[in-house]
Amino acid sequence: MSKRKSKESISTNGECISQVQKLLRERLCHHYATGKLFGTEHQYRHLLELLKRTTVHGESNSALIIGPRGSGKTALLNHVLKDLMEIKQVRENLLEVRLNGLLQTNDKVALKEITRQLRLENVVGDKVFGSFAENLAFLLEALRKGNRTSSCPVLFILDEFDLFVHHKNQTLLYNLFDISQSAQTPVTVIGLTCRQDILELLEKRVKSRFSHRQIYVINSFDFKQYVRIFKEQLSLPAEFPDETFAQKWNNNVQLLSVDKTVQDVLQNLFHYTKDLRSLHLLLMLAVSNVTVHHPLITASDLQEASKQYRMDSKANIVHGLSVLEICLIIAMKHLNDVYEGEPFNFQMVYNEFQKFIQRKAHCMYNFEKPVVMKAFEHLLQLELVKPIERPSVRTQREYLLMKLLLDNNQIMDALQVYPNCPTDVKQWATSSLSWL
Amino acid sequence: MGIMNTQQQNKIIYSWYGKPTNSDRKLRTLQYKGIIIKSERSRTEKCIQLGDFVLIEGENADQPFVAQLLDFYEDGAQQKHAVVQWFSHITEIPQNKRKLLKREVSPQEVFFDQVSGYDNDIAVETIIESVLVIPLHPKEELPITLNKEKIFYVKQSWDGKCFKALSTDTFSKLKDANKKGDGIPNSLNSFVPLDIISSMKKETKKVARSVMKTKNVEVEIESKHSASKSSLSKERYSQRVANGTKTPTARKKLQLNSMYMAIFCPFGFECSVFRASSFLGSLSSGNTVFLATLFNRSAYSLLKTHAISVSYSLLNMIDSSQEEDFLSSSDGLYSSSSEEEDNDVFCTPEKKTKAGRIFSTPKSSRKPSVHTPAKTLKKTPLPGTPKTPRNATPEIPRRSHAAQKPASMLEEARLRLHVSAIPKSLPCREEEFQDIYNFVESKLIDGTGGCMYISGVPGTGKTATVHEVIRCLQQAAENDDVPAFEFIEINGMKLTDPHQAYVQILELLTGQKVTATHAATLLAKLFCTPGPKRKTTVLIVDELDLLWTRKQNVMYNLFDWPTQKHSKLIILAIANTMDLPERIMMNRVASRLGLTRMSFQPYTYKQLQQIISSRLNSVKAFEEDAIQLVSRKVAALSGDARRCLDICRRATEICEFASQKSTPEIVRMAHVTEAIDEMFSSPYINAIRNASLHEQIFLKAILAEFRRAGVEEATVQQVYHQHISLCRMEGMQSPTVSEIMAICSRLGACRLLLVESSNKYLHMRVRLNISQDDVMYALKDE
Repeated sequence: MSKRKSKESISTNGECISQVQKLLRERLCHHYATGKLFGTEHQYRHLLELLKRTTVHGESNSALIIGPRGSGKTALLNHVLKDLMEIKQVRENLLEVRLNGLLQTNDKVALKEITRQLRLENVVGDKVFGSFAENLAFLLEALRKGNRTSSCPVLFILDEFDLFVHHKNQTLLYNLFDISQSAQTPVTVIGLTCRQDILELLEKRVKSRFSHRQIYVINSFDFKQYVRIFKEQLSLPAEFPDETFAQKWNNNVQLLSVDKTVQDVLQNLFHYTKDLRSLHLLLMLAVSNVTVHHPLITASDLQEASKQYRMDSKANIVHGLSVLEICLIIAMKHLNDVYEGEPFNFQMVYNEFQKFIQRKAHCMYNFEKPVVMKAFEHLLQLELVKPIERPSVRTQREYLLMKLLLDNNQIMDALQVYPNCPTDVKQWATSSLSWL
Repeated sequence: MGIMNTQQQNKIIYSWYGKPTNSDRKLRTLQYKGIIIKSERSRTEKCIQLGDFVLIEGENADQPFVAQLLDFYEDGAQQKHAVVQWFSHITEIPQNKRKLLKREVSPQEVFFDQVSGYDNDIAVETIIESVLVIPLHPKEELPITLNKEKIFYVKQSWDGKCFKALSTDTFSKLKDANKKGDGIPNSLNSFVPLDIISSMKKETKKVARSVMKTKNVEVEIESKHSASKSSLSKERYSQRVANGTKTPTARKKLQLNSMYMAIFCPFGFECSVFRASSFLGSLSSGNTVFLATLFNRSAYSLLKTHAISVSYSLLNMIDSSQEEDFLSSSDGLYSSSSEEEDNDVFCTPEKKTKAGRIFSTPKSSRKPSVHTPAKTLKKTPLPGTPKTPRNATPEIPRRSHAAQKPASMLEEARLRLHVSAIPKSLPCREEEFQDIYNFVESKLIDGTGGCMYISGVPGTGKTATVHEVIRCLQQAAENDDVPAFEFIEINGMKLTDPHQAYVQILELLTGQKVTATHAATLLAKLFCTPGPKRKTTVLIVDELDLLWTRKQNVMYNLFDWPTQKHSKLIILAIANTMDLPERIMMNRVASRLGLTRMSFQPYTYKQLQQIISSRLNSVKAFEEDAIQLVSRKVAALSGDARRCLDICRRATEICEFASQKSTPEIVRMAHVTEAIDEMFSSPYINAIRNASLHEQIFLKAILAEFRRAGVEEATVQQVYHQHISLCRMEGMQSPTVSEIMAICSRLGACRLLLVESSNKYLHMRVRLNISQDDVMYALKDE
């Protein structure tokens, strides 16, 4: 894997690299469409059986898939649906309606969307007309007319299920669950949510009609499995055109997975979150570094990516501030220390700053008050400082009460890496009493 | 403009024709032999006499009743009444009885009504217009006519149980009734000065002649019913005139005037409404006659041209009978011509107005009746959004493969245990069933109205029991043990707005689609006025509490109608809370609801056990103990039968899953326990145990901070400091503030934590959504 060797194969590698990039990016971005399932075999079986019964036997059901964000709820459902669609009898016998709580913000919109997706007869082109009441009556009538044995089963997928709960009277949920519990068109209602307390949000009548099937998706894997997922996500498939390159790439991935630094990076991420999306994000950053001249991922790529990934957002902003603004932040930090986090106003900050300047007799920081005010307002705009009350006409700007949105640790860390920070400012930051 | 016209049209005056023939001192009634219906707008009159056949305004504007007038009288309160012999249209006969006929029935056929129980005393204001009812022998074919709404045929009688051929007596009577109108010179003649008649005769000589001519041929035409439509429209129309009226010239003249009325009102507003179906009906009813007459009368040349164009489009329409086509092809033509024709009416030649004036009797100065003619109802289905397909049928596509039959015992059990499966009988609700049944049955038999309030927690079989009662009553009605009734149901949860209840009730009752306010007035009219031929209505109002509005007028009306004398409305209101009337209803609403209440208690474990066993029936899929375990568990929690069935269903799945390799077995305790655990276990503990390390440390930090501060609330900043010190103790790399924020929001999204909105950043306050003990328990085990 010497550099010379890789240089020789540049021409052939160019094609390979772009293919690797394409393949891996696709896998990492649309992880739910192509990705494999990890540690959810039981849930997979349950859901598969449930949907199979709906389509084959025309049995109505309702279920909730509950799990924290990024635990693979949608991935699980899509996986099940993909596998189901391979069965001919299912493919031709299932109508799918997908709703999302973030898009269908009320029942009226949701009803129109359902009617549109079902392509009922009151759909003109791609639009549904008529009043809310008409649409509801029409849809209910349509669903009521069907029966178990002859109507095509309908699968309702409600993403962000918890948002549907806030609709007025929970009309939509009541009706969907009611249909699923009565001898009408067979429907299966699948809700996806990250809220563990979802059942408590359902109205008693709605709750009674819900079948209480809850499928919990939890990332229950340990670190060993996590590393294996890492390997699988990065490995090239056997059908990759250039076999030798694939071999080389996969060997490298194998080596990476036992590398100490890589393990550390992964361990940190694993401790931070078990969400696979963050792993994908990390890998994405690393994979982006792959070029013709740098054909294989190295441990340092991953480390760099991890550093980038774990960057503190507010500390980043502090890096770009002027010395005067840094001084103001330090003054606020001292105020916080003295008054134990009580809110302050500009005048207090200015006084604190003045004390520092007088002490050191530094002419270079001796700014006019309006200039300091301007700097302070810049901090306000960056949301490093936040007023605790609305600015009103009565209170002067100087006396508006503020709070600092930075922690002491953040300030100190940021100062450490701040380029060309004057030493006396640094000293002042560590202790307000340094002049003693 | 169209609507204006109809409003003027509404002023219809009913006055007696002639002097009272008979008076009854005791009852203080005066009998008459005819009535004159005078319309103010078109200044036309119709005279309807005893023995005539008429259309009577029904609940549904599109379906008037057919009846023969037997008696006219005025009671002591100066109310005009008529006694009628009803004829039943096929749509009025219960669906299940229609098959007794064993033949297709044309919409023009009616049945001589011998059903007892229909009120045959009606107010004269409900009379719409006269029609013709022709008795036919059972073997005779119906003659094909264009004049669909004006002529009816009767072959058989209907007594509520079966159809019989008309007795010769009735047959001849009916025949006579027709002849009477034909034979005796219309008595109105005596009111008309002779010279006018003769002048009119001159005017309409042609018509008269053609009538005379065609009348002789009429019988042949009827029997042959030549179906040729293409040519000779002129002649056919004239035949139709003859067929439809069969009166000497003077009478014809009168008829003609009334025809104008019949036509111009549809012309006036139909073009604004464009409701194809009713449009077609009204067009083919009177207009053909009218148009044909116009055709023959060469006097109005302008009118004539229009008449021709309209009649042609009419022919087209009848030929194709496709409403859509017709509308698109003749829309423009129609609206233009109708307008001009309307103008023509206002400037009609002398004779016509004269005729109108002559026929006005002094009595017609009586106040115009409040009632609106049935036709105005047609204008209510306002054109909705133009693009919406009007007659879309609500239907889900059919499946392409047949649903599989249950193969194994467990599958069979699962099918039976599904909540949607309707059991043959409802066990454990016999008492409630009997109470409700008795209540409704007694009201049905008495022909009165009433309310019943049914309460109970979800899943206790309220709706199922009520439906079962209705099913049994319908069965009984079929066997004629109770009077026939109409059953409708609304559900508060299935309405978008409480006021939509009116719309749904009206649509279920009559099939009309109108706005909520209009529906309310129509329903009030329907239930508060004595209607002819009305069956009792049983109305189920499910989820009553959702019909609550601030003014409570929906509830008020619903419970007020049954108390009306003529409403014949029985309401069964269902809701969850027992004290709903006391809690949310105003006194006047609660008082109308009355005290007939029933509450469904949650099922006890024995009842639940019985429910499962009865559903499983002979399928031995469950261990006896397993059923008992489920029943006891559910009874202790809620007594919700749905839950019970769901658990059993899940247990069969688990059982099937476990025994996939080995031979199929029955559901045992272990399976049931697993199903119960799955449904009722708290998800929080598991969620915490499977959280990432830093998420767990964050929870620990929260606990530590709570302990330090002694308050069960902390800011993220405080927790962050605790978190860092915990990390230092464990020798771990401490996370950045951004990471801490992300962890916090993740836990917040799962609702393990309750967090404020995130714009406060570090000062965001955090609280636990579960008890501290649970968190400690979950974290300690590791």
